[in-house]
Amino acid sequence: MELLPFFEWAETTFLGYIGKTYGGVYATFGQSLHLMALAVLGGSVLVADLRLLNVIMKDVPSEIVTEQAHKWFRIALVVIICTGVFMAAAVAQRMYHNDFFWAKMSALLVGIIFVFAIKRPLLKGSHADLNPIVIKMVASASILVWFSVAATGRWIGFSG
Amino acid sequence: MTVKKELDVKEKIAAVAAGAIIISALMYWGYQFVGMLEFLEMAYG
Amino acid sequence: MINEMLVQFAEWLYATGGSRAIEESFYLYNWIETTHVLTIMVCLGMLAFIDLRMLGYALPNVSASTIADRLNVPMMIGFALMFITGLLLFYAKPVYTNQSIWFRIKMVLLVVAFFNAIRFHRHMKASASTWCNEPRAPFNLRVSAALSLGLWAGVVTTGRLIAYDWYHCYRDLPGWLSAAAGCVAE
Repeated sequence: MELLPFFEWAETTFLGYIGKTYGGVYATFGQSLHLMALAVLGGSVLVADLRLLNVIMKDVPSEIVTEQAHKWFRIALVVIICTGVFMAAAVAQRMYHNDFFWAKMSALLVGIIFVFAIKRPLLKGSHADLNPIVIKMVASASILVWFSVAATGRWIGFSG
Repeated sequence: MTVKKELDVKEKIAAVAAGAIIISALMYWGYQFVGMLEFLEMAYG
Repeated sequence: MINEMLVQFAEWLYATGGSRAIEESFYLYNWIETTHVLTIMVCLGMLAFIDLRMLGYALPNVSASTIADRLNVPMMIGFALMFITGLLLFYAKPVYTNQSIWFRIKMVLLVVAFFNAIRFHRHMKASASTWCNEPRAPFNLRVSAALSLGLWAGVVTTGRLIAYDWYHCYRDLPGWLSAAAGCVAE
């Protein structure tokens, strides 16, 4: 499947035009909002996963913590994707040729599938019934995948 | 808390997926790190 | 006067070997910056959850003082890393950064956020036992929490904008902006 025409088209859209033409809008509504949402996303991932790893809030039931953290995870993810699409549209052709962009998209896709198809269904019931090693593996994988998404995201800007 | 001996299907899938993610993430960043070392060698001899 | 001194200090820092080594190393500089950005997830992530708890938007069924207390340690670890990497980033580009209006606004916001945090802790200490199981904190703590979120949003935004030189000294700036950015006559 040839994706380049899609990226070329993205730059010609209204969204791409705004981001390309107005640096201030790109930097504040794109980059800064993206980073604020990253804070909330990171917080929700760490609050939930460090709880599952028994590092923090050992005196609060992990079911409550993961449930509440997931609520904010979803909100942050929506903001991150919206601002991310906006930023990518403005520099779409450069993104197409950037290795870190594709690394980030792969990690993001894996992260989303992992959270919604595997982690959430697993943690739905009582956590006491689950094997503690599996819980810890899931929590570690979640932290790793979301920090990788963030780090590869920053490296998009350093390369190409 | 009682720990079950047998994992159910959901746990098995989660364990495999989590294991795959952990290994790939470590391999990816390990690969990036080696790339940096090679770059440093080229730059500074 | 103060701007001249800051420029001198920045130029002295710039001339040190460590500063040159960091800025000239592609991987070192970029990894310090990446770490600085990633600590947003740790420090500001925890901060966001504490503040959102006070406002009643996150974990309303868990005691507020438990949240503030338990998340404080990871938040401070994140902050320490953020602070150290931030210092290193300044150290690597002192001349440019010192005359960035965004950097200067960011520092002001950080100072205000610091006093706001002190105010928050004082009120928290004095009153938490009477309300901490309520879903929302009392009004004055909610003000602090909202202020904290706003201030840190400003810190993130101005921090990101340091990379842009729209209002740098070599541009044509109005007098007040030129003074605020710390520009000095050549």
